Amino acid sequence: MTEPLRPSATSVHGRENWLFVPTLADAAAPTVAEVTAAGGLDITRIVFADSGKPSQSTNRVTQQRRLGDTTVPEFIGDTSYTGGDMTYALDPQAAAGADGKKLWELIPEGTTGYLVRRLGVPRATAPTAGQFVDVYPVAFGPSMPTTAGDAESAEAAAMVTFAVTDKPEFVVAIAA
Amino acid sequence: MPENNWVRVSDLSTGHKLTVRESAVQHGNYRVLKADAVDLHGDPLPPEYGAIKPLSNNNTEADQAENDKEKKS
Repeated sequence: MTEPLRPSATSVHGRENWLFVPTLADAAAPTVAEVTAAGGLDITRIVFADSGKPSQSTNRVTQQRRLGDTTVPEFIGDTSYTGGDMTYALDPQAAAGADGKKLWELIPEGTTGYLVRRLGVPRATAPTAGQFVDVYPVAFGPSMPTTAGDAESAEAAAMVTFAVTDKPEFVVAIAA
Repeated sequence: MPENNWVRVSDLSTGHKLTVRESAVQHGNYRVLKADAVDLHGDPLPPEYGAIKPLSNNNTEADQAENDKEKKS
């Protein structure tokens, strides 16, 4: 018997990007121009690592037991996609438009857009056609200045809650 | 904090028209439009995709003229 298939591991250490993209014509086929538009922002090194990320939860429900049943199977129920609480670096003293305030200025309350995640590509590599990404339609609540970390490691930050507003698209190719 | 109004812009990178907060305008390759940014209820108007021809390195003079026209509208 031949060895069972064992795909090589895909490290995401330094190979994960999260981008905020203001608008996509088709979330299932984001284009290079949309993903790299100046109105968006690569937030990979702005958002803290312990920040909330989108997640998925699917219900498992127990089927109705029949009179004679001795086993009770399940159904797959609703799937919900949820956002989270994002904590990101904020320099309250920075000038308007400065790097330390960019995300703060980009996502005020009511802002909608997309969080695009790319895995398995070195983070400094520009998005190009053919790369695969996950696309989460999101809406942001109000940001609130806060701090991240404790005591000596504490730094200025902001916290914002975001919701996933539509069905995400997973592992879709960036179009030219 | 100053009021952060909604504004309607055309994104010269993508060719889409969209509504963004005033504070976001400086970060994008946006052209601010005089058009309404919100509906009667104050909600941002939805994007219009491919409303203009996006700028690119291969832009022709005709493309540039179209974008200039958009700017004036």
